[in-house]
Amino acid sequence: MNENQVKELEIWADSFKEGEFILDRIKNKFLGTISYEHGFVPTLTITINSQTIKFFVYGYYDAWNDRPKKISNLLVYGKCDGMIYDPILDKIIFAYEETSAVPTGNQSLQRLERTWYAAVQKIPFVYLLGKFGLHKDGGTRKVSIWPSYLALKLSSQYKIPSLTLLYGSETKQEDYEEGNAMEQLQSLIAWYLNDHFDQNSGLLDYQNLLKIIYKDMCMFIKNHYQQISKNLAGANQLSDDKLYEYLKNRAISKSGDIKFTSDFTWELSTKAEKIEKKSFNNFIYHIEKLIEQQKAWHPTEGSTVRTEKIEYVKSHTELQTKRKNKLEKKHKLKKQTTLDVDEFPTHKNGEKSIQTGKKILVMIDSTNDFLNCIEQAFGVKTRQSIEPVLNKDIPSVLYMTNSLQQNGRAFKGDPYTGQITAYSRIFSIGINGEKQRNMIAYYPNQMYSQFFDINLKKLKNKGVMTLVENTDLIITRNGISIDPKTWSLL
Amino acid sequence: MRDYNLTESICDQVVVVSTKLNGWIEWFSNPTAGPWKRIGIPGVSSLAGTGFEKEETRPDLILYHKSVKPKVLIIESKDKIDKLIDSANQNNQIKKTCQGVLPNMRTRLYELIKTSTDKELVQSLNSINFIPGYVIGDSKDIQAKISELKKLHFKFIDKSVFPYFIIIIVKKSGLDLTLETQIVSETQTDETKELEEFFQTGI
Repeated sequence: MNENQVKELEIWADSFKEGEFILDRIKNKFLGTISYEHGFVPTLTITINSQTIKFFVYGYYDAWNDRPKKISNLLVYGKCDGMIYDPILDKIIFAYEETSAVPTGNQSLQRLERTWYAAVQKIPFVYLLGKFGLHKDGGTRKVSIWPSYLALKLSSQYKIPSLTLLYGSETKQEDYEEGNAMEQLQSLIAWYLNDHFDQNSGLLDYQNLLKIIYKDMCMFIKNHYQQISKNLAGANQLSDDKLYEYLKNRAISKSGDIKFTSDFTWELSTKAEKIEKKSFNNFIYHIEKLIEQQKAWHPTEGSTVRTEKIEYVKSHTELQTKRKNKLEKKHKLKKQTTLDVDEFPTHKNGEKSIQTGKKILVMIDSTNDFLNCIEQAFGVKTRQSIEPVLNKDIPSVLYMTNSLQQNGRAFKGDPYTGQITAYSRIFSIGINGEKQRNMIAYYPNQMYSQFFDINLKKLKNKGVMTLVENTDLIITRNGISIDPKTWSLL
Repeated sequence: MRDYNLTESICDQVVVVSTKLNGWIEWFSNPTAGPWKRIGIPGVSSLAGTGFEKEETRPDLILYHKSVKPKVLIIESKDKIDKLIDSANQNNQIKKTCQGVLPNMRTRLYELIKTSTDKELVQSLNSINFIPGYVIGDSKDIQAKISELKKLHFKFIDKSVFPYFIIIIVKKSGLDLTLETQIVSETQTDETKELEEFFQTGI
């Protein structure tokens, strides 16, 4: 490389603010001054060992005419907040996501499809989020363990750093400078830039930093998992120095023996759980019986009650039915499935209850038991059609979303696409990428026609793509099922 | 550098950059996420200054200038002025802006400033000039379209509260962006003349 030549790097970002956020991190490590070209483009010029490097911020991905394909490809699974890109080498050096909203409950998994896809693409990825969030009611909320737990699994599954950095404290929830996160983020970016220009003498420092970050992630999970997932796989290893070393080595693709597989395998059911209020949904009713017989269990704590106004339920059931009828008329098809407002029980608040299960995740010890529930609820033919796509030698995990919305976010938006992706990588795939459970997605309130366009072809959106990549079976209303790999009705 | 389309977001960005260079402070802009989505008034707690509900209408920019007569610009942005004056859209967009966003925001800012711990800001509250504005990308026949916008704006706005507004036109030449500002009122007064002079030196 000609040392006198200015090397240009690009920061692609969801907004100019996000891009400048990265520029500030770089400036803090390498000095330099931020200026604006053409009246609006933030730039920063720095020097790394006599090499002059100039960064341009390309804010708002869609505004630019010749966006690199590599960037566009990553955006297919959602617009991550920013990335550093070398246009000459066509390489994404680093990507990040940040949020000032502290995700809790099921919301905590929103956007995690981006985290996953960065790992698939072998791009070092940081998710920066607050440890505590200030709610509008004035109270504080603690961030979920799932972003961190997913990141440590992805690091080992895909052999690339996927990190969560938590900023803030209970009293300074929104202070990015509180805690180590910002300094760690800056050090990581600096290391990747130095490494990109072959100027790295600090490999050991980088490895130490990775190990510290993995330790921080593990300790955060260890301190909080009891409130979220009491039987968390791998919980006993979270304070083991060997695990941090192992994760670091896996993340830098250092070869070595496979370890920790059994420690991070989700256990089979250890105790029966009494379900006080049985589901009105026949299939879930049978699944709940498995829970009572100690053949299945809920891996997460807490539960919610979801009700919707009668008009809302009526509107979306009608819209879905209309769409199904249109599709069936065009393709001379007839599937036994109905969706009607009267099929939903009325809750004591006067609204319709659309929640079919107590929780959205159930771990089922035997896939054969799962198939028995299918048969009991939907008949033997449905069982026979489903059987070939599942591996009966491993257990299963059932994810369900009760979304009723016609053409809604169940397939294309937050938090569902992040949920299904993260839960699949967390519960069905082992720490070293081993397939450990069948991943089954159940949509009790979505008719099968919602999954296809009018030509009976696969819908084109990120929700569908995540289902293809991360599930083994999709069950829609009345048990009509789809093989996600071929996107065909079973 | 790569070429770009003059989108609403890029129009906002050039206004933010330019105004900062001219002494304005950004109190709010409307990117997708991040801590900057909050209304950042000095001395107002982040909880009180929490941004907007998901479906709540909001301006695109709020800018503050601390001068002898402090000014707050409450801005609606569009890449194309047609989106504001288009006959299919006008009754929705302009009406929503003039009868909803602008007066609501003025009231909300007034109330928020009252809670500020910045005494100087609170003391200046009654002398703050809240000015509505539009940021728009340049286009053919822009002056004729501004006349159309003027008619619509004054049809819906409460003129006793907002007797004039500012137009900021974003002009693209090659890769460069520049701004042109105009004060628009139904009748010219000493106040509008003064504002014209103030904005003549740039925004």
